[in-house]
Amino acid sequence: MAAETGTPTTLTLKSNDDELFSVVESAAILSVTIRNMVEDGCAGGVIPLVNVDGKTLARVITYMNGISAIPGVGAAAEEEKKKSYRDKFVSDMDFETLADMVLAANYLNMSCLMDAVSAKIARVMEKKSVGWVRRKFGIENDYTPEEEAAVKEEHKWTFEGVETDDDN
Amino acid sequence: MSEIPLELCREILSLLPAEPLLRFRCVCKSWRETIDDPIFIRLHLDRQLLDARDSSNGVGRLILKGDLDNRFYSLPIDSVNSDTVKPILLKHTPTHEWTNSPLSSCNGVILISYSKRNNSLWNPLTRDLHILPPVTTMSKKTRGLYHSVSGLGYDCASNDYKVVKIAQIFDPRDRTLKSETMLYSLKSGSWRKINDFPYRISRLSGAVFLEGALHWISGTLPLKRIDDLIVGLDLSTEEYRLLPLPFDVYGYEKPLAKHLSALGGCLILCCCYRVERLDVWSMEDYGIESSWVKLFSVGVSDFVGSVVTLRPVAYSKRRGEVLLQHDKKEFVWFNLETKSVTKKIRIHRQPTMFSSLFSVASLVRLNSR
Repeated sequence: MAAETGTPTTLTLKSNDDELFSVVESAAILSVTIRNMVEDGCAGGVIPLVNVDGKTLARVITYMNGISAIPGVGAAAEEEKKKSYRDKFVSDMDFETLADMVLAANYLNMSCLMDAVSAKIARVMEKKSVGWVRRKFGIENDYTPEEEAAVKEEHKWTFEGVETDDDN
Repeated sequence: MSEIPLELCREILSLLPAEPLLRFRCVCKSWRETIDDPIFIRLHLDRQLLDARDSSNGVGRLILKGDLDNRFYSLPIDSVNSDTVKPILLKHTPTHEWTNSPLSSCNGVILISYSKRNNSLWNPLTRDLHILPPVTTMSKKTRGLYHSVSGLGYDCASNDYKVVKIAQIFDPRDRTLKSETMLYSLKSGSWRKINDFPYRISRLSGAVFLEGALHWISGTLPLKRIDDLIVGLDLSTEEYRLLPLPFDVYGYEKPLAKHLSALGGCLILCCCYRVERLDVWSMEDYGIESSWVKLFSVGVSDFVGSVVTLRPVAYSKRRGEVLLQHDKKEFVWFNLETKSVTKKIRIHRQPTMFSSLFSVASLVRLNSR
Protein backbone atom coordinates (compact mmCIF):
# COMPACT_ATOMS: atom_id res chain seq x y z
CA MET A 1 0.00 0.00 0.00
CA ALA A 2 1.42 3.39 -0.86
CA ALA A 3 2.00 5.63 2.10
CA GLU A 4 0.21 8.96 2.17
CA THR A 5 1.44 11.63 4.52
CA GLY A 6 -1.11 12.75 7.10
CA THR A 7 -3.40 9.67 6.79
CA PRO A 8 -3.34 6.46 8.83
CA THR A 9 -1.14 3.93 7.16
CA THR A 10 -0.80 0.19 7.22
CA LEU A 11 2.68 -1.20 7.18
CA THR A 12 3.81 -4.56 5.90
CA LEU A 13 6.31 -6.33 8.08
CA LYS A 14 8.31 -9.33 6.89
CA SER A 15 9.79 -11.86 9.29
CA ASN A 16 13.12 -13.59 8.69
CA ASP A 17 11.26 -16.68 7.45
CA ASP A 18 9.43 -14.57 4.86
CA GLU A 19 6.02 -14.34 6.50
CA LEU A 20 4.19 -11.09 5.81
CA PHE A 21 2.05 -9.19 8.31
CA SER A 22 -0.07 -6.06 8.05
CA VAL A 23 -0.02 -3.66 10.96
CA VAL A 24 -1.45 -0.20 11.47
CA GLU A 25 1.48 2.22 11.60
CA SER A 26 0.46 3.76 14.91
CA ALA A 27 0.69 0.33 16.54
CA ALA A 28 3.84 -0.70 14.70
CA ILE A 29 5.85 2.29 15.79
CA LEU A 30 5.70 1.09 19.37
CA SER A 31 8.86 -0.50 18.08
CA VAL A 32 11.53 2.19 17.91
CA THR A 33 13.37 0.08 15.34
CA ILE A 34 10.34 0.10 13.04
CA ARG A 35 9.72 3.78 13.69
CA ASN A 36 13.28 4.59 12.65
CA MET A 37 12.93 2.51 9.50
CA VAL A 38 9.71 4.33 8.61
CA GLU A 39 11.37 7.69 9.15
CA ASP A 40 14.19 6.56 6.91
CA GLY A 41 11.64 6.04 4.15
CA CYS A 42 10.82 2.32 4.22
CA ALA A 43 7.08 2.77 4.67
CA GLY A 44 6.32 2.45 1.02
CA GLY A 45 7.55 -1.07 0.70
CA VAL A 46 7.92 -4.03 2.97
CA ILE A 47 9.83 -3.68 6.22
CA PRO A 48 12.20 -6.59 6.64
CA LEU A 49 12.80 -7.70 10.23
CA VAL A 50 15.78 -9.99 9.96
CA ASN A 51 15.98 -10.96 13.59
CA VAL A 52 12.43 -12.10 14.26
CA ASP A 53 10.70 -15.25 13.01
CA GLY A 54 7.06 -15.35 11.92
CA LYS A 55 5.76 -17.11 15.01
CA THR A 56 7.28 -14.51 17.34
CA LEU A 57 6.41 -11.55 15.15
CA ALA A 58 2.77 -12.63 15.16
CA ARG A 59 2.81 -12.48 18.95
CA VAL A 60 4.53 -9.10 18.98
CA ILE A 61 1.90 -7.73 16.62
CA THR A 62 -0.87 -9.02 18.88
CA TYR A 63 0.85 -7.10 21.68
CA MET A 64 1.18 -3.94 19.61
CA ASN A 65 -2.48 -3.99 18.67
CA GLY A 66 -3.54 -4.80 22.19
CA ILE A 67 -1.56 -2.01 23.79
CA SER A 68 -2.52 0.68 21.31
CA ALA A 69 -6.17 -0.27 21.72
CA ILE A 70 -6.13 0.76 25.36
CA PRO A 71 -7.89 4.12 25.52
CA GLY A 72 -6.04 7.03 27.05
CA VAL A 73 -8.35 7.86 29.95
CA GLY A 74 -5.97 9.52 32.38
CA ALA A 75 -2.26 8.92 32.77
CA ALA A 76 -2.37 6.79 35.93
CA ALA A 77 -5.41 4.72 34.97
CA GLU A 78 -4.05 4.16 31.48
CA GLU A 79 -0.73 3.01 32.90
CA GLU A 80 -2.48 0.58 35.24
CA LYS A 81 -4.43 -0.92 32.33
CA LYS A 82 -1.32 -1.24 30.21
CA LYS A 83 0.54 -2.89 33.06
CA SER A 84 -2.34 -5.34 33.48
CA TYR A 85 -2.26 -6.09 29.79
CA ARG A 86 1.48 -6.77 29.84
CA ASP A 87 1.22 -9.01 32.88
CA LYS A 88 -1.52 -11.02 31.23
CA PHE A 89 0.36 -11.12 27.93
CA VAL A 90 3.38 -12.84 29.48
CA SER A 91 1.46 -14.89 32.00
CA ASP A 92 1.11 -18.19 30.15
CA MET A 93 4.19 -18.18 28.00
CA ASP A 94 6.60 -21.07 28.35
CA PHE A 95 10.28 -20.39 28.76
CA GLU A 96 11.21 -20.86 25.11
CA THR A 97 8.55 -18.35 24.07
CA LEU A 98 9.72 -15.89 26.73
CA ALA A 99 13.27 -16.20 25.43
CA ASP A 100 12.14 -15.55 21.84
CA MET A 101 10.09 -12.58 23.06
CA VAL A 102 12.93 -10.97 24.98
CA LEU A 103 15.21 -11.22 21.94
CA ALA A 104 12.50 -9.81 19.67
CA ALA A 105 11.66 -6.97 22.07
CA ASN A 106 15.33 -6.13 22.27
CA TYR A 107 15.83 -6.14 18.49
CA LEU A 108 12.63 -4.19 17.90
CA ASN A 109 13.56 -1.77 20.69
CA MET A 110 10.33 -2.04 22.67
CA SER A 111 11.37 -1.22 26.20
CA CYS A 112 8.08 -1.74 28.08
CA LEU A 113 7.56 -5.15 26.52
CA MET A 114 11.15 -6.05 27.24
CA ASP A 115 10.83 -5.03 30.89
CA ALA A 116 7.68 -7.12 31.28
CA VAL A 117 9.21 -10.19 29.65
CA SER A 118 12.50 -9.86 31.55
CA ALA A 119 10.64 -9.56 34.84
CA LYS A 120 8.65 -12.68 34.00
CA ILE A 121 11.79 -14.64 33.13
CA ALA A 122 13.33 -13.55 36.44
CA ARG A 123 10.24 -14.73 38.35
CA VAL A 124 10.29 -18.08 36.55
CA MET A 125 13.97 -18.78 37.18
CA GLU A 126 14.18 -17.49 40.74
CA LYS A 127 13.81 -20.81 42.51
CA LYS A 128 15.30 -23.04 39.84
CA SER A 129 18.45 -25.09 39.95
CA VAL A 130 21.74 -24.36 38.22
CA GLY A 131 21.15 -27.32 35.91
CA TRP A 132 17.74 -25.99 34.89
CA VAL A 133 19.21 -22.57 34.09
CA ARG A 134 21.98 -24.06 31.97
CA ARG A 135 19.50 -26.18 30.01
CA LYS A 136 17.00 -23.41 29.39
CA PHE A 137 19.55 -20.73 28.54
CA GLY A 138 21.60 -23.13 26.45
CA ILE A 139 24.71 -22.42 28.52
CA GLU A 140 27.62 -24.78 28.66
CA ASN A 141 29.29 -25.40 31.99
CA ASP A 142 32.88 -24.22 31.62
CA TYR A 143 33.92 -25.02 35.19
CA THR A 144 35.95 -28.08 36.00
CA PRO A 145 34.25 -30.27 38.64
CA GLU A 146 36.71 -29.00 41.26
CA GLU A 147 36.14 -25.37 40.32
CA GLU A 148 32.38 -25.79 40.40
CA ALA A 149 32.51 -27.49 43.79
CA ALA A 150 34.61 -24.62 45.15
CA VAL A 151 32.22 -21.95 43.88
CA LYS A 152 29.24 -23.88 45.24
CA GLU A 153 30.92 -24.18 48.62
CA GLU A 154 31.21 -20.39 48.91
CA HIS A 155 27.42 -20.05 49.21
CA LYS A 156 26.22 -23.60 49.63
CA TRP A 157 23.19 -22.67 51.71
CA THR A 158 21.60 -21.08 48.63
CA PHE A 159 21.28 -24.58 47.16
CA GLU A 160 19.15 -25.86 50.02
CA GLY A 161 15.61 -26.65 49.04
CA VAL A 162 16.28 -26.28 45.32
CA GLU A 163 15.31 -29.20 43.11
CA THR A 164 18.41 -30.45 41.39
CA ASP A 165 16.70 -31.77 38.35
CA ASP A 166 13.29 -30.31 37.64
CA ASP A 167 12.48 -29.76 34.05
CA ASN A 168 9.33 -27.69 33.57
CA MET B 1 15.55 -21.58 20.64
CA SER B 2 18.05 -18.79 20.20
CA GLU B 3 20.50 -18.13 22.93
CA ILE B 4 20.04 -15.01 25.01
CA PRO B 5 23.21 -12.93 24.77
CA LEU B 6 25.10 -12.03 27.93
CA GLU B 7 24.01 -8.36 28.02
CA LEU B 8 20.36 -9.40 28.08
CA CYS B 9 21.09 -12.09 30.65
CA ARG B 10 22.66 -9.38 32.78
CA GLU B 11 19.49 -7.29 32.57
CA ILE B 12 17.40 -10.27 33.63
CA LEU B 13 19.82 -11.17 36.43
CA SER B 14 19.61 -7.65 37.84
CA LEU B 15 15.90 -8.27 38.45
CA LEU B 16 16.47 -11.37 40.58
CA PRO B 17 16.66 -11.33 44.36
CA ALA B 18 20.18 -11.63 45.76
CA GLU B 19 19.94 -15.22 47.01
CA PRO B 20 19.43 -17.01 43.66
CA LEU B 21 22.16 -14.80 42.19
CA LEU B 22 24.62 -16.34 44.66
CA ARG B 23 23.55 -19.78 43.46
CA PHE B 24 23.73 -18.84 39.77
CA ARG B 25 27.42 -17.96 40.10
CA CYS B 26 27.80 -21.70 39.47
CA VAL B 27 26.10 -21.62 36.08
CA CYS B 28 29.23 -20.65 34.18
CA LYS B 29 32.28 -18.44 34.47
CA SER B 30 30.85 -15.47 32.62
CA TRP B 31 27.79 -15.46 34.87
CA ARG B 32 30.01 -15.52 37.94
CA GLU B 33 32.03 -12.63 36.54
CA THR B 34 28.82 -10.70 35.84
CA ILE B 35 27.35 -11.30 39.30
CA ASP B 36 30.63 -10.44 41.06
CA ASP B 37 31.16 -7.25 39.06
CA PRO B 38 30.91 -4.25 41.43
CA ILE B 39 28.99 -2.30 38.78
CA PHE B 40 26.42 -5.07 38.54
CA ILE B 41 26.20 -5.26 42.33
CA ARG B 42 25.49 -1.52 42.42
CA LEU B 43 22.87 -1.79 39.64
CA HIS B 44 21.19 -4.67 41.44
CA LEU B 45 21.29 -2.87 44.77
CA ASP B 46 19.81 0.34 43.35
CA ARG B 47 16.90 -1.62 41.88
CA GLN B 48 16.31 -3.37 45.19
CA LEU B 49 16.43 -0.08 47.13
CA LEU B 50 13.96 1.56 44.78
CA ASP B 51 11.52 -1.35 44.88
CA ALA B 52 11.88 -1.62 48.66
CA ARG B 53 10.48 1.87 49.19
CA ASP B 54 7.02 0.37 48.74
CA SER B 55 6.77 -2.79 50.79
CA SER B 56 3.92 -4.07 48.58
CA ASN B 57 6.58 -4.82 45.97
CA GLY B 58 7.69 -7.63 48.25
CA VAL B 59 11.34 -6.59 48.21
CA GLY B 60 13.27 -6.52 51.47
CA ARG B 61 12.98 -8.06 54.87
CA LEU B 62 12.84 -7.20 58.51
CA ILE B 63 15.92 -8.08 60.48
CA LEU B 64 15.11 -8.76 64.12
CA LYS B 65 17.59 -8.88 66.94
CA GLY B 66 16.37 -10.79 69.97
CA ASP B 67 16.84 -8.82 73.17
CA LEU B 68 17.15 -11.93 75.28
CA ASP B 69 19.02 -14.38 73.07
CA ASN B 70 21.00 -11.85 71.02
CA ARG B 71 20.35 -13.86 67.89
CA PHE B 72 19.35 -12.40 64.54
CA TYR B 73 16.24 -13.33 62.61
CA SER B 74 14.89 -12.51 59.20
CA LEU B 75 11.28 -11.93 58.17
CA PRO B 76 10.57 -11.38 54.45
CA ILE B 77 8.35 -8.32 54.13
CA ASP B 78 5.81 -10.08 51.94
CA SER B 79 5.20 -12.60 54.72
CA VAL B 80 4.28 -9.88 57.21
CA ASN B 81 0.60 -10.22 56.38
CA SER B 82 -0.70 -13.07 58.50
CA ASP B 83 -1.81 -12.95 62.11
CA THR B 84 1.24 -14.91 63.21
CA VAL B 85 4.64 -14.94 61.58
CA LYS B 86 7.64 -17.16 62.09
CA PRO B 87 10.94 -15.28 61.79
CA ILE B 88 13.79 -17.31 60.36
CA LEU B 89 16.74 -17.68 62.69
CA LEU B 90 19.93 -16.58 60.99
CA LYS B 91 22.21 -19.35 62.17
CA HIS B 92 25.31 -17.60 61.00
CA THR B 93 25.08 -14.59 63.25
CA PRO B 94 28.66 -13.52 63.93
CA THR B 95 28.64 -13.81 67.69
CA HIS B 96 26.28 -13.98 70.60
CA GLU B 97 28.02 -11.35 72.67
CA TRP B 98 25.53 -9.16 74.42
CA THR B 99 24.81 -5.76 72.91
CA ASN B 100 22.03 -3.31 73.47
CA SER B 101 23.08 -0.68 70.97
CA PRO B 102 20.51 0.15 68.32
CA LEU B 103 21.20 -1.61 65.06
CA SER B 104 22.32 0.42 62.10
CA SER B 105 22.08 -0.77 58.54
CA CYS B 106 22.77 0.44 55.06
CA ASN B 107 22.43 -1.24 51.66
CA GLY B 108 21.91 -4.67 53.16
CA VAL B 109 24.90 -4.41 55.50
CA ILE B 110 24.42 -4.32 59.26
CA LEU B 111 26.66 -2.61 61.79
CA ILE B 112 26.85 -4.51 65.03
CA SER B 113 28.40 -2.58 67.89
CA TYR B 114 29.35 -4.91 70.66
CA SER B 115 31.20 -2.61 72.93
CA LYS B 116 33.04 0.66 72.73
CA ARG B 117 35.86 -1.02 70.94
CA ASN B 118 34.34 -3.89 69.04
CA ASN B 119 32.35 -3.40 65.90
CA SER B 120 31.51 -5.59 62.93
CA LEU B 121 29.99 -5.13 59.52
CA TRP B 122 27.85 -8.06 58.48
CA ASN B 123 25.97 -8.90 55.31
CA PRO B 124 23.40 -11.51 56.43
CA LEU B 125 22.72 -12.61 52.88
CA THR B 126 26.25 -13.34 51.70
CA ARG B 127 27.34 -14.10 55.28
CA ASP B 128 30.29 -11.83 54.69
CA LEU B 129 31.72 -10.52 57.93
CA HIS B 130 34.17 -7.70 58.42
CA ILE B 131 35.52 -7.09 61.88
CA LEU B 132 36.61 -3.52 62.38
CA PRO B 133 39.88 -2.85 64.13
CA PRO B 134 39.35 -1.66 67.72
CA VAL B 135 38.93 2.07 68.17
CA THR B 136 40.09 4.00 71.18
CA THR B 137 38.22 7.12 72.04
CA MET B 138 38.46 9.42 75.03
CA SER B 139 39.97 8.19 78.18
CA LYS B 140 37.55 6.95 80.80
CA LYS B 141 39.58 8.93 83.31
CA THR B 142 37.79 12.07 82.18
CA ARG B 143 35.04 12.72 84.71
CA GLY B 144 31.45 12.49 83.68
CA LEU B 145 28.78 10.46 81.99
CA TYR B 146 30.20 8.60 79.04
CA HIS B 147 28.27 7.23 76.17
CA SER B 148 28.76 6.57 72.50
CA VAL B 149 26.62 5.99 69.46
CA SER B 150 27.52 4.70 66.06
CA GLY B 151 26.09 4.52 62.59
CA LEU B 152 26.79 3.00 59.18
CA GLY B 153 26.41 4.76 55.85
CA TYR B 154 27.57 4.74 52.26
CA ASP B 155 29.61 7.46 50.57
CA CYS B 156 28.82 7.21 46.87
CA ALA B 157 31.44 9.77 45.90
CA SER B 158 34.18 7.40 46.99
CA ASN B 159 32.14 4.16 46.76
CA ASP B 160 32.99 3.44 50.39
CA TYR B 161 31.13 2.21 53.43
CA LYS B 162 31.78 4.31 56.50
CA VAL B 163 31.15 3.82 60.18
CA VAL B 164 30.89 6.82 62.48
CA LYS B 165 31.37 6.55 66.21
CA ILE B 166 30.56 9.51 68.44
CA ALA B 167 31.79 9.37 72.01
CA GLN B 168 30.72 11.99 74.52
CA ILE B 169 31.44 12.72 78.12
CA PHE B 170 29.07 15.08 79.85
CA ASP B 171 30.12 16.45 83.22
CA PRO B 172 26.92 17.38 85.08
CA ARG B 173 28.77 19.39 87.71
CA ASP B 174 29.92 22.14 85.39
CA ARG B 175 27.74 21.13 82.46
CA THR B 176 30.62 20.75 80.06
CA LEU B 177 30.61 18.41 77.14
CA LYS B 178 33.62 16.67 75.64
CA SER B 179 33.03 15.03 72.34
CA GLU B 180 35.08 12.90 70.00
CA THR B 181 34.03 11.59 66.61
CA MET B 182 35.81 8.81 64.80
CA LEU B 183 35.23 7.64 61.26
CA TYR B 184 36.07 4.25 59.81
CA SER B 185 36.43 3.73 56.08
CA LEU B 186 36.04 0.19 54.77
CA LYS B 187 38.34 0.99 51.88
CA SER B 188 41.17 2.27 54.03
CA GLY B 189 40.58 -0.29 56.80
CA SER B 190 41.31 2.26 59.50
CA TRP B 191 39.78 4.76 61.89
CA ARG B 192 40.55 8.44 62.02
CA LYS B 193 39.32 11.42 63.96
CA ILE B 194 37.00 13.86 62.20
CA ASN B 195 35.22 17.10 63.16
CA ASP B 196 33.56 16.63 66.50
CA PHE B 197 29.82 16.25 66.76
CA PRO B 198 28.85 19.73 67.85
CA TYR B 199 25.87 18.96 70.09
CA ARG B 200 24.90 16.63 72.84
CA ILE B 201 23.72 13.29 71.58
CA SER B 202 21.22 11.00 73.19
CA ARG B 203 22.60 7.62 74.18
CA LEU B 204 19.60 5.91 72.70
CA SER B 205 19.66 7.76 69.41
CA GLY B 206 19.85 5.40 66.49
CA ALA B 207 21.53 6.66 63.33
CA VAL B 208 19.48 7.03 60.16
CA PHE B 209 21.28 7.01 56.82
CA LEU B 210 19.62 9.11 54.12
CA GLU B 211 20.75 11.37 51.29
CA GLY B 212 24.42 10.60 51.82
CA ALA B 213 24.36 11.55 55.50
CA LEU B 214 23.94 9.92 58.89
CA HIS B 215 21.34 11.58 61.09
CA TRP B 216 20.83 11.65 64.83
CA ILE B 217 18.44 13.37 67.18
CA SER B 218 20.54 15.48 69.38
CA GLY B 219 19.97 17.38 72.55
CA THR B 220 20.74 20.97 73.19
CA LEU B 221 24.12 22.32 73.99
CA PRO B 222 24.34 22.84 77.71
CA LEU B 223 23.66 26.43 78.68
CA LYS B 224 22.03 27.27 75.39
CA ARG B 225 18.29 27.33 74.97
CA ILE B 226 18.19 25.65 71.61
CA ASP B 227 15.69 22.87 71.50
CA ASP B 228 16.22 19.41 70.14
CA LEU B 229 17.78 19.17 66.74
CA ILE B 230 18.24 16.78 63.88
CA VAL B 231 21.89 16.72 62.96
CA GLY B 232 23.24 15.17 59.81
CA LEU B 233 26.83 14.24 59.06
CA ASP B 234 27.62 14.23 55.36
CA LEU B 235 29.83 11.20 54.80
CA SER B 236 31.48 12.70 51.77
CA THR B 237 32.37 16.17 53.03
CA GLU B 238 32.46 15.22 56.73
CA GLU B 239 30.49 18.34 57.50
CA TYR B 240 27.57 18.63 59.85
CA ARG B 241 24.21 20.01 58.85
CA LEU B 242 21.14 20.93 60.87
CA LEU B 243 17.74 19.90 59.67
CA PRO B 244 14.73 21.92 60.73
CA LEU B 245 12.04 20.22 62.80
CA PRO B 246 8.40 20.56 61.76
CA PHE B 247 7.15 23.99 62.66
CA ASP B 248 4.29 22.81 64.88
CA VAL B 249 5.97 19.91 66.55
CA TYR B 250 5.63 21.65 69.87
CA GLY B 251 1.96 22.57 69.79
CA TYR B 252 0.63 22.64 73.33
CA GLU B 253 3.38 20.66 74.87
CA LYS B 254 6.95 19.64 74.33
CA PRO B 255 7.47 16.05 73.24
CA LEU B 256 8.81 13.69 75.88
CA ALA B 257 10.97 11.85 73.41
CA LYS B 258 11.78 11.89 69.74
CA HIS B 259 12.92 9.14 67.44
CA LEU B 260 14.22 9.15 63.88
CA SER B 261 13.75 6.59 61.15
CA ALA B 262 13.29 6.43 57.39
CA LEU B 263 10.34 5.26 55.33
CA GLY B 264 9.88 5.24 51.59
CA GLY B 265 13.06 7.30 51.16
CA CYS B 266 11.91 10.06 53.53
CA LEU B 267 13.17 11.07 56.96
CA ILE B 268 10.64 10.22 59.65
CA LEU B 269 10.35 11.91 63.03
CA CYS B 270 8.32 10.31 65.81
CA CYS B 271 7.35 12.44 68.79
CA CYS B 272 5.98 10.91 71.98
CA TYR B 273 3.96 13.08 74.32
CA ARG B 274 3.20 12.64 78.00
CA VAL B 275 -0.51 12.24 77.37
CA GLU B 276 -0.03 8.94 75.52
CA ARG B 277 0.18 10.29 72.02
CA LEU B 278 2.58 9.60 69.19
CA ASP B 279 2.88 11.94 66.22
CA VAL B 280 4.70 10.72 63.15
CA TRP B 281 6.06 13.24 60.67
CA SER B 282 7.59 12.69 57.25
CA MET B 283 9.98 15.10 55.56
CA GLU B 284 8.76 14.74 51.99
CA ASP B 285 11.50 16.91 50.49
CA TYR B 286 14.80 16.41 52.22
CA GLY B 287 15.98 19.51 54.04
CA ILE B 288 12.91 21.61 53.33
CA GLU B 289 11.11 22.66 56.52
CA SER B 290 7.79 23.27 54.78
CA SER B 291 7.80 19.74 53.41
CA TRP B 292 7.20 18.14 56.81
CA VAL B 293 3.87 16.33 56.70
CA LYS B 294 2.19 14.81 59.72
CA LEU B 295 1.60 11.26 58.55
CA PHE B 296 -0.54 10.33 61.50
CA SER B 297 -1.15 10.68 65.18
CA VAL B 298 -2.06 7.78 67.46
CA GLY B 299 -3.49 8.17 70.89
CA VAL B 300 -4.71 5.89 73.60
CA SER B 301 -8.18 5.71 72.10
CA ASP B 302 -6.91 4.57 68.70
CA PHE B 303 -4.61 1.98 69.93
CA VAL B 304 -4.69 -0.64 72.64
CA GLY B 305 -1.37 -0.62 74.36
CA SER B 306 1.34 1.88 74.96
CA VAL B 307 2.00 4.14 72.00
CA VAL B 308 5.37 5.16 73.34
CA THR B 309 6.95 1.95 72.11
CA LEU B 310 5.65 2.23 68.54
CA ARG B 311 8.36 2.39 65.90
CA PRO B 312 7.71 2.66 62.14
CA VAL B 313 9.67 0.06 60.19
CA ALA B 314 8.12 -0.24 56.73
CA TYR B 315 5.71 1.51 54.40
CA SER B 316 3.21 0.11 51.92
CA LYS B 317 2.53 2.84 49.41
CA ARG B 318 -0.03 0.78 47.54
CA ARG B 319 -2.14 0.21 50.63
CA GLY B 320 -1.33 3.53 52.31
CA GLU B 321 -0.24 1.72 55.45
CA VAL B 322 2.69 1.89 57.82
CA LEU B 323 4.10 -1.14 59.59
CA LEU B 324 4.95 -0.35 63.19
CA GLN B 325 6.78 -2.40 65.72
CA HIS B 326 4.95 -2.32 69.01
CA ASP B 327 6.08 -3.00 72.51
CA LYS B 328 9.22 -4.83 71.43
CA LYS B 329 7.17 -7.91 70.69
CA GLU B 330 4.77 -7.54 67.77
CA PHE B 331 3.92 -5.59 64.64
CA VAL B 332 0.85 -3.68 63.51
CA TRP B 333 -0.25 -2.32 60.15
CA PHE B 334 -1.71 1.15 60.51
CA ASN B 335 -3.81 2.70 57.75
CA LEU B 336 -3.00 6.36 57.13
CA GLU B 337 -6.39 7.22 55.73
CA THR B 338 -8.70 5.50 58.18
CA LYS B 339 -6.21 6.21 61.00
CA SER B 340 -6.70 2.78 62.43
CA VAL B 341 -4.92 -0.49 62.99
CA THR B 342 -5.83 -2.92 60.20
CA LYS B 343 -3.82 -5.90 61.36
CA LYS B 344 -1.91 -7.04 64.40
CA ILE B 345 0.93 -9.47 63.76
CA ARG B 346 2.28 -11.73 66.46
CA ILE B 347 5.53 -13.59 66.52
CA HIS B 348 5.42 -17.35 66.74
CA ARG B 349 7.66 -18.21 69.70
CA GLN B 350 11.06 -16.64 69.00
CA PRO B 351 12.17 -13.97 69.42
CA THR B 352 9.95 -12.87 72.32
CA MET B 353 11.44 -9.40 72.68
CA PHE B 354 13.34 -7.74 69.91
CA SER B 355 14.29 -4.66 67.97
CA SER B 356 13.85 -4.62 64.24
CA LEU B 357 14.84 -2.79 61.12
CA PHE B 358 14.03 -3.02 57.47
CA SER B 359 16.79 -4.05 55.08
CA VAL B 360 17.26 -5.26 51.54
CA ALA B 361 19.18 -8.42 50.72
CA SER B 362 22.22 -7.26 48.79
CA LEU B 363 25.37 -8.65 47.23
CA VAL B 364 27.54 -5.92 48.72
CA ARG B 365 31.02 -7.21 49.45
CA LEU B 366 32.81 -6.36 52.65
CA ASN B 367 36.12 -8.01 51.98
CA SER B 368 37.97 -7.61 48.71
CA ARG B 369 38.91 -10.94 47.20
